[in-house]
Amino acid sequence: MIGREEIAQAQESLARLREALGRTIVGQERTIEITIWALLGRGHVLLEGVPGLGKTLLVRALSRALGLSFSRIQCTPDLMPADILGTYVFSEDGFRFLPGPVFANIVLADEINRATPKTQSALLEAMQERQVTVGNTTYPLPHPFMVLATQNPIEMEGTYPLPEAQVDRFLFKAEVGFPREEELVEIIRRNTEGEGIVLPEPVLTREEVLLCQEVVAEYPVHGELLSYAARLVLATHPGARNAPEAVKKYVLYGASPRAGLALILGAKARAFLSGRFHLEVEDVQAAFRPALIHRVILNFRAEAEGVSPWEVLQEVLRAVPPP
Amino acid sequence: MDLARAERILKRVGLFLRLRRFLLAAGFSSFLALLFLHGIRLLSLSVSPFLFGLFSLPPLFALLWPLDMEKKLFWCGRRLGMGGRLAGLSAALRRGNPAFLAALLNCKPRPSRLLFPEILSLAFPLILVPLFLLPAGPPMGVLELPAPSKETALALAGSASEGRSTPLGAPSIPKLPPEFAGSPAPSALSLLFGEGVSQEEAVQRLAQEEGLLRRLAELLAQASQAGSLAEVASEVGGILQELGRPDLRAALAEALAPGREELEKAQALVETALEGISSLQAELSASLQPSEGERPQEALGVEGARVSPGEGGRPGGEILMDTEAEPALRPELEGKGEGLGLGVGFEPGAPVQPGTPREWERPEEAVGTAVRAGEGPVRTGVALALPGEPPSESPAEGAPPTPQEVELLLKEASLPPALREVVRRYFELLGGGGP
Repeated sequence: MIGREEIAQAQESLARLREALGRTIVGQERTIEITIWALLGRGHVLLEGVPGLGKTLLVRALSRALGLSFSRIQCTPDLMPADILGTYVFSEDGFRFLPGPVFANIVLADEINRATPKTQSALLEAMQERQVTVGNTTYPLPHPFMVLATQNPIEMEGTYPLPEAQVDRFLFKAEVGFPREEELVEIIRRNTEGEGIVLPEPVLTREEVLLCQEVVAEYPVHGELLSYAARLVLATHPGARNAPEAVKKYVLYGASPRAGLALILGAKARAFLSGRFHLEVEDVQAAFRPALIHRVILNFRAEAEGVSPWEVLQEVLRAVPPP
Repeated sequence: MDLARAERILKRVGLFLRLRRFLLAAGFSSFLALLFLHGIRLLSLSVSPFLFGLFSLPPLFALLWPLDMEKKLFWCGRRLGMGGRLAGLSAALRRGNPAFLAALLNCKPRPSRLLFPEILSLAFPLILVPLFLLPAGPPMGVLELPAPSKETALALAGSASEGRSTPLGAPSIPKLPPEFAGSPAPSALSLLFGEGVSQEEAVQRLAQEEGLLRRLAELLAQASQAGSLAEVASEVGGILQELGRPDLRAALAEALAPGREELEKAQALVETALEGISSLQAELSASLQPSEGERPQEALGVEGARVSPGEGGRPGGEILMDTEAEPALRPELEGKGEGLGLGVGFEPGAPVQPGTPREWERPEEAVGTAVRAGEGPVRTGVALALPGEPPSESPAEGAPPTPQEVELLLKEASLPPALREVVRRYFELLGGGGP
């Protein structure tokens, strides 16, 4: 059972992490916050944004600040599953398993939509089961384990859109926005003066990260809030009784049950980051977009009319009354 | 320790939630009860006090009905400015996590704030309650008919009292003979109806008053037999409103107030008043006896009474009488009164001081204009005027009104259907069209 001291220690650790990331990354507070939510919720993040917005830098800074092992996979069309998972090599002692880059605490799958579906699927088991099966042997992944994948929403040529099953495994999707003018000025200044970008020193230990995850998991959630999250998820389904008109009109498939988990985990992490010991309705609402935006599949009509998933989700948020 | 404290906090919140629900239900019930009370007052109904006990049931149910507090915790938190802390406390209590419980208990909720502003829901009924505790006025619940104009009422009464038609729209008050002014009767009339009322009008109002009182006596007898005023309450209320004497009206209203219904007292009052009117009418007749001895009807200003066979606008001078009112009016018409008596506020036989101010005197009081079926100015006017018709000076004045004129008159008077038919039939009789 978590005690008050552990909670206080976890909150202090997290404050240090935010401060370290803030020193390295200019702006992008929302992206950093969602990434930390995913870390605390033992989930993975899909970072979507045009090139040059600091996605890779964020992941590198995070891994450094956390003091965890980090590996990067640059996805290309010729990337094979064994390149990610590992392979058997013959040595003097016979065949020996050589772990791939997935065997790290923080894994960056850069431009994941450039890898073939076969290679993308190699990550499925790793992300969900936190283990890898090669041949007849299953190898556990290190703990904590977090995949941060990036993708470019504009460039479609030579890419393979992630299958729904894989997209669903990302706890949150962070849409990395373009920096504001003052942020851009600061980015230019930091990259052109002195030593350039300086990655943070480790401010947390592995144990502290695990403690933070444990504290967030212990957060008490009231039944009405769980019910609210469930109603929100159900309302994204066109056949649901409480689905708004926009959902019935534009949604092909609604969010999976994992969306409900993401809502609550995100709400818990947000409450923890805010220094609160209880969840508010606003926590769930704040986690609504990153938890559901990649889980709702719109139909052809929505594409034809230029309706975005967020427009539909906003209708859902309006239609479902909070507790 | 923390568990017990958390439970105590949540119990307190639950208690105040119940109180809040009770307040809302009590406010709503009180409002309904006042509406109900107002309704039964309007309809002059009497209901068992136990019926009002039903209005206490919703607040009791609200207080005792099981409360799903878990569903209300977020709402309570917002009302108390605690956000989701109460819900978090409940969740932590359920999971039994001491660290979170201790952190969440670091607050002082004030659940009494849940009662505001709901407590104001009782304010409106509480403001209204004193108004309902005031003593009741005369029984209401009468269907208020649109009052005809004074001219119309007088024209109706005048034409009826003369027993013949008068030009429509021309007010006609029976003319008293000059000898009337010298008799003691005018002083008594002025005492009754005030100084500002002309003697002719006072005589007419005296007759109206008598008609109303006789009808009231009938209704009270009917109510006395039935044991309740409920069936005739509305008509009684209407008559009370039309009575010209405020003191009598107030005394009757008090006797017949809902909850009291002292029928015997009311009957005695009406009886006394009728005796007083009879005495006054006898006095009027007697005062005119020396000059118009053999025709006391004329002393009452009923010119139609002088009609001899063959005279007037009616062939053969046929006398039309209201068969209902005629027996009651016969002694007065024949001058067989019982002496001066003025009813309430006066001792029978006691000398009346002319000009003595009375609390109910209203010098400028107008003729009652509310017209009701089977009573009121038309009926009493008919009773006094039927004996005959005066000789007309011109054929146009003596001629009965045409049916069109009658319909116009009825339309202007806004009479109820029953009375409308009576008046129509009366004019048919005058015009010779009836049986």
